Amino acid sequence: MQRIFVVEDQESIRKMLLLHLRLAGYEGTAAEDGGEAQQRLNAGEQFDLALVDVMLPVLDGFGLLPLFRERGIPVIFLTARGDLEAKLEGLTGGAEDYIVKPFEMAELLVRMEKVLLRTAPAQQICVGDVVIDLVARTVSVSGMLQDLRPMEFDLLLIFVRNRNVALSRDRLLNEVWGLSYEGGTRTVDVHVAQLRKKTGLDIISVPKIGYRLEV
Amino acid sequence: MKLKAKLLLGGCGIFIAAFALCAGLLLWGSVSGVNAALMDSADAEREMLQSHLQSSFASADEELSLLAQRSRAAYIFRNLSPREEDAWYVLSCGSDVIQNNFGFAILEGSGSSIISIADEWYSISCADCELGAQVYAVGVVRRVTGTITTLWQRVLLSAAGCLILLFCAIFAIGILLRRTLRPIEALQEGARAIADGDYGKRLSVQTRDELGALSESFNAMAAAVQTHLERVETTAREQALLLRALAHEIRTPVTAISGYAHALRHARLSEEEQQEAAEFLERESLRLERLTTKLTELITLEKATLHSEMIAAETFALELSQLLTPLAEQRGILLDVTAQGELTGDKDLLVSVLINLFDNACKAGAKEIHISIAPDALTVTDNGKGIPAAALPHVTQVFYQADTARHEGFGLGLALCQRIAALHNGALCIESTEGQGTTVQLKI
Repeated sequence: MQRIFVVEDQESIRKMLLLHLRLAGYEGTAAEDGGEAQQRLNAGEQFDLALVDVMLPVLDGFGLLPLFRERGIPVIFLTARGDLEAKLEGLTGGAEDYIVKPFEMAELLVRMEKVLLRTAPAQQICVGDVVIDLVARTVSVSGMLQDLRPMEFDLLLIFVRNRNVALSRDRLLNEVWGLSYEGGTRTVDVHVAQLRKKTGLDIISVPKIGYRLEV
Repeated sequence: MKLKAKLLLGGCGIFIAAFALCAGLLLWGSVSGVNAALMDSADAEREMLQSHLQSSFASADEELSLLAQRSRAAYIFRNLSPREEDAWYVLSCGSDVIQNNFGFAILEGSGSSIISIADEWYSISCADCELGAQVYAVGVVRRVTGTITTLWQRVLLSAAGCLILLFCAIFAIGILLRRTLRPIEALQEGARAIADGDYGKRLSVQTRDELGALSESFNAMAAAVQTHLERVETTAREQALLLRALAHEIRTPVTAISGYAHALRHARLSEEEQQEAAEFLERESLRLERLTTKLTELITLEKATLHSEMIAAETFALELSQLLTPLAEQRGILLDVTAQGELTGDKDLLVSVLINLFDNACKAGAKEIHISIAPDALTVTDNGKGIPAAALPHVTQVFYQADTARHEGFGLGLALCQRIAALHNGALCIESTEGQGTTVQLKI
């Protein structure tokens, strides 16, 4: 599981981020201020990605950036400062991305995923007894290899990356088949049924929205 | 056309006309004077000749025939007329010219004149003269070419002198105009510079005339414009900062609210997680509500009118204790309110100041808070952690928070207090020692 380091001084946002990270299948851990983050980095903790607020007590986000860079940890800044100067300072300083509050969690998760794909692609993802090998594009359930079609595999990836989150049929259709796909949302239903049968995962249908993978 | 050119042309035109008129009159006067003198002298000579002729003729016998008389007159005339090179004498009787050594035939009638014949000038004087029974015409011609030539040379010389003087005068007028109009050009340049955005431009016209006064007024105007503009810019900058701070204050709770709402709506959460999300939702929306309330207070205060009244300090203190004591007890703070005399002010606003200051003291971690109400000042003293000296000048700025690590307030309280103090024509004095406590005094 990929480890995400959240450095955010505001309790409400920090807890909210951790909640969403857990839901999306990441292992989230948090620091309340720049000082704590520095200590933990110096103590040798390693992370796959850091979400860092810019305005932090003790040591601000821009001050923390070199520490992350030394350890090769990609950084996404989360900040209420939407001015161009701050954005430029963050991005030229070596941050991977810069997201201005208020942001949508879905957007943040997609951006995180893009950064992680570039910097630390996960080898496999485990959901219960289902193991997905991202390199070989194979899925095994309880050690038994399952034969999944390419579209089913992509669909499965989206579900596991959005664990416990309801996904609309339109979104699934767009992300797997692309915007230009002519077929209707029935295609999604057929593939979901196949996934349920092949992997035994608990993909439940959410009325009026779509589907949700429950773990 | 430029003002300078206009003035130069107009002034010079009038000047030249007046000058030419004067010089023309003078020259004409002198020329006619010389002419008159020449003619007078010719007349005098002729009259002398005539009287000599008459007196010589009168002594003769009157019985002579007309022919003899004429011969006699001719004889006398020839003897009387001097032999001079540049003078000619003419005697005629009717159409019969008796003597004319002047090369040209002479006029009839009498009078004197100056005429020009073949590049030579002559003054001629003629008159009728009665000799015996007949009337003769006597004429004297003198060559005056030398005098007239000299005269015209002088006239031309004077005219040339006048012309030179005229040019000198025009040149002088030009320089004078240039000098006089230079401040106007400077004024124009200054105005253009200001129009182009160089608001620091000032003129350095030092003349003591109307233009000097004008440029002084101009400088005063430019200074006023600059000051005003700076004030407007400062206000705009402050407002931009305020907006940015406000956006920051709003963004944080909104992000949290939307995040939890999204989780509640889309994800399957445990009981505990749902509870937590709901708590945060409530907390953050309350925070937004408090922010809105404070901001509304601050904005309404901008236009507020003061409802000043006499307030008895003791009743004021009593009401305040009733309001604050429960809050203090809740937090384990020792609150002490003292009062004396009467004070004038808007009660509601003053209460709001004291509540804000009390609130600040609580946030600073005070264990003891002392509020004193006196006729000239409201004082709140606490033993909290104090304010760093570097932050002290900024604490009354909107959204300023000395302690950035805490997120309880908005940095609006002291700004509010300051506005209220200003409304009361008073001042907010803050003294603080870091680690020992803070004293805030509202002087009325």
